[in-house]
Amino acid sequence: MVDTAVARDAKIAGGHRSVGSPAARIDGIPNVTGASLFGADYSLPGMLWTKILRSSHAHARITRIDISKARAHRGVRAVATAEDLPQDRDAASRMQNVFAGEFVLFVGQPVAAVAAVTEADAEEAVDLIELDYEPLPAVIDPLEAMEPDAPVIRHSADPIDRSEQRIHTDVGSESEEETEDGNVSSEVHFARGDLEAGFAEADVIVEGRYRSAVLHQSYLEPHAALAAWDAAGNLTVWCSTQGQFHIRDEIAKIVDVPATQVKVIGTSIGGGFGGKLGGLVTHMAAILARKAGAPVKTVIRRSEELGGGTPAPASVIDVKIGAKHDGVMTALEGRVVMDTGAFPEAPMSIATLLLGAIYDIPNFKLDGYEVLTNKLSVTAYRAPGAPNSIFALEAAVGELARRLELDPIGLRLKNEIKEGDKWPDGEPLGPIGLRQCLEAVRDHPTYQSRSSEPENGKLRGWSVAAGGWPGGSGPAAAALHLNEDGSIRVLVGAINLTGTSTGFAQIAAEELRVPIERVQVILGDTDEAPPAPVSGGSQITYAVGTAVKRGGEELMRLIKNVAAERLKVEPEDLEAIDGVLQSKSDGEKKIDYALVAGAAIAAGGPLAATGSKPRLPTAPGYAVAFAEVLVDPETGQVDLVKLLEAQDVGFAINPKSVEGQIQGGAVQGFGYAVTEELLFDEEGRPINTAFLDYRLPTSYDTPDVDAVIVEVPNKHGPYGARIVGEPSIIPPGAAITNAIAAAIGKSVYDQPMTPERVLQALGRPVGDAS
Amino acid sequence: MSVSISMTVNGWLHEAAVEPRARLLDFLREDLGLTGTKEGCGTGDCGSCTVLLDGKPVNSCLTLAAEADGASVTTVEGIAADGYLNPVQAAFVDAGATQCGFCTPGFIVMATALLDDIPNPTEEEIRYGLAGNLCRCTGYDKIIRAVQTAAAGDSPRIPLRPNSDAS
Repeated sequence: MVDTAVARDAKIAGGHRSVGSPAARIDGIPNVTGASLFGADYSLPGMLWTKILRSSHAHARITRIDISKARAHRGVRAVATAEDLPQDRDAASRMQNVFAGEFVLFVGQPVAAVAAVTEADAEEAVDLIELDYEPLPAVIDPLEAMEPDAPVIRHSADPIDRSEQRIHTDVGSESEEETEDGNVSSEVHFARGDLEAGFAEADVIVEGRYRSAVLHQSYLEPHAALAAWDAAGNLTVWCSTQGQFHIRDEIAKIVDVPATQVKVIGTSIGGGFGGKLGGLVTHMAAILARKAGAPVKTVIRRSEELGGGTPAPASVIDVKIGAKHDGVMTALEGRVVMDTGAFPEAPMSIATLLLGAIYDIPNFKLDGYEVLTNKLSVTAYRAPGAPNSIFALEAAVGELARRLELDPIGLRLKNEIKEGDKWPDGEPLGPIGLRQCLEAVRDHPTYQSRSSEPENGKLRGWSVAAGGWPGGSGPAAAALHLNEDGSIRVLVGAINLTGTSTGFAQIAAEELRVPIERVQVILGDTDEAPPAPVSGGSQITYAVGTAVKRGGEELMRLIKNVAAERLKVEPEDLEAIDGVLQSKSDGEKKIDYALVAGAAIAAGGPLAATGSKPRLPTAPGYAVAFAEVLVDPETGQVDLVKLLEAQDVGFAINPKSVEGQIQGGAVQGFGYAVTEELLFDEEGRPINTAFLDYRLPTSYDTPDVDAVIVEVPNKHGPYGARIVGEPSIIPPGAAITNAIAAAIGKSVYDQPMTPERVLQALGRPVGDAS
Repeated sequence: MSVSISMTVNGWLHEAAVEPRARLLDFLREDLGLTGTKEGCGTGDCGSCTVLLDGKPVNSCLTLAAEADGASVTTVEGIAADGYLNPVQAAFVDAGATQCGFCTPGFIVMATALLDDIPNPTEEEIRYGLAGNLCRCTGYDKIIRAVQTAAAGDSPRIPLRPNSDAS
């Protein structure tokens, strides 16, 4: 923490005015007054509503589908099925298979959709669609799916489209191999050193099989889209998406028109966390709108989100670690089995790789398998795959600390991965902040006040965990313009998911030396804005922020040139302060930006600049969490009483936003550890499809969250910034489960630790409710 | 078949014919265009659709429009007063208590009702009082701080529509 504070002071002393300050979000007032418009808030005259018919079978052949009665129903304008999809669609892509074709592969899979004048008409019409199924053997459990005699549920050997996953990070993906038969859709293998020798050298070996559940991203806003075609065959889609250029390209494939004929207008987005990269409703709305010849709105219900969405994967992870008496780790063996559901899109490679990305262990062997089952297919959820593997790794490391009676932070400091060390795929690391995060937690008053004292019959325990994430950095551009009144306009194409627009305003204000109020950030649609990557992989500030900074530098240069000409001084002699350029040698010579704008218009034309950047190396972010819990041994209830997380963000362009990101991620980690699990019955039917029994943490369940910002600069990011959004979700879940293990004095092998599982771990009887 | 209702919403009187099954949420969003009130779950579990019905918070997804006949309804669009954000709204902006913003209208309305009921709540009372409103982004910490700020009377004074005639 001391390092960080010193580094920070130096930077502020180095002259930053706007970046590094906790500016209020520029969308704050629209958000608190209800003025921000989200996906479902858009409507058009003559608009139709949608209802979806979903599969009631986990695996079946559709033998008959008759839509004639539905089409004849009052108010119905269109009924769409797989007949309306392109023939050459990729059979391995969930998103391209908007409707099930010959086979349904999971309960909840869309089979048909109706567009009608009212929601009630559409709902009634859906019930009139006649559908016959021939049930087929289904596979629900991923380990059973890997057995040689398991029914094979794959109906296609089409290559797997990983483009969406690579948005979050492409680290590790080169090593992935697709398989062509059976239910294992891909596998990955990493190894270094001599595993047997490493274990032979060890004084102690810990091992376990760690299971994580299916979780739903549970953005509060359900997927929503409004699609309209014009007479010339151009499509406009308003939608809640994390990446408007990405979804534009995906929609274009499905409606089979050039992407330039599709305009996506990204609305305010009510959370995404990876779950709004794909088009759960956009493609459907576009297809129905073309068929109906009228605008179509498609909004799904919460029950359809939980029972028909794209959640985060369950996994079964085996971890075995060998270490010397002093805690030095000598060998690591890991095997990841990730349940991808009915379509291959699980973040299995990165989950496998991350097992070897936290500690520098000379001998390791890591194997990963992505397995198809007849359940909802998965997609990204904030640092996809990482909470699963870090839970497994850190549970084993926690057990190692208990066995060796070593301080958990000391054990981690002894083995931490450092600059110059290599990840399992051979990538050497630049500067990272793992050590600083461990020290920041160790030195924090919340950690210093930790306790193991029982209270009113409740058992108390505390623990820590570490995690990291590579992130992405796609190509991006930004357009900056000097307005005639001297203010600055910034045009970007990146969705404002996490407060990034406020960060862009700060960056532009910094570079152009104007107050933040003089910067206008505009999110253009896909026809207007320069390209931007999706708001995923924690990359928007890192990638688009770099483009804004470069554009800002260029616009500043142009402004200075015009001013220098007017003032008859050299550009180098000019200093910009609060929107005024002043000569350093002659204080009488000054000109404000509005006059510069006017002069430019009269001379060479309005001043505009574009900042652009290519794909950059990733800027990994590490985080360390501390948790303290009270466990009721009678009921199995876990109370989270303290939660602390330190994260290296390189440089916090907006510390308030960064704190909010850390706190939000930490509480999502609590969901992983204790409260959240999407349950399936033996037939693969999701059974808890409402927030009543799919339990998000509430304000009453959650303690104050202490967020510590650690800043180890990254050389590529703006002002040293690195990725921010994702790492915070990674270690808290593992820290909490480790704290539960410490409290109950038993190893914990499952997330979430529901009351039933706590009682089972304690060897207590569990009631009928389990 | 439709039902005639008369309702005061954010101070304006509305008379309308609604379907008997229409929810108050649908009436506000679709008939009146007040889209600030959000539907997050439709089952009363998330609180995003919270509005004040005769001053008391209700889930508008669980209330029929016809049930609100004769009532006075306040939505997030009508909760600011005298040309300024109300203290809860202002504290949310200042504290960074709004991230994606989707749950925010429900929290604003619920927290306003909470402070109306308990002007000086403890942190526990705030956390309990807001437990029916789900937020996925913030981890609740900054929301709790914002409500504490509003309760303490320390909210900044932030004008609403500073360029309009009303302010």
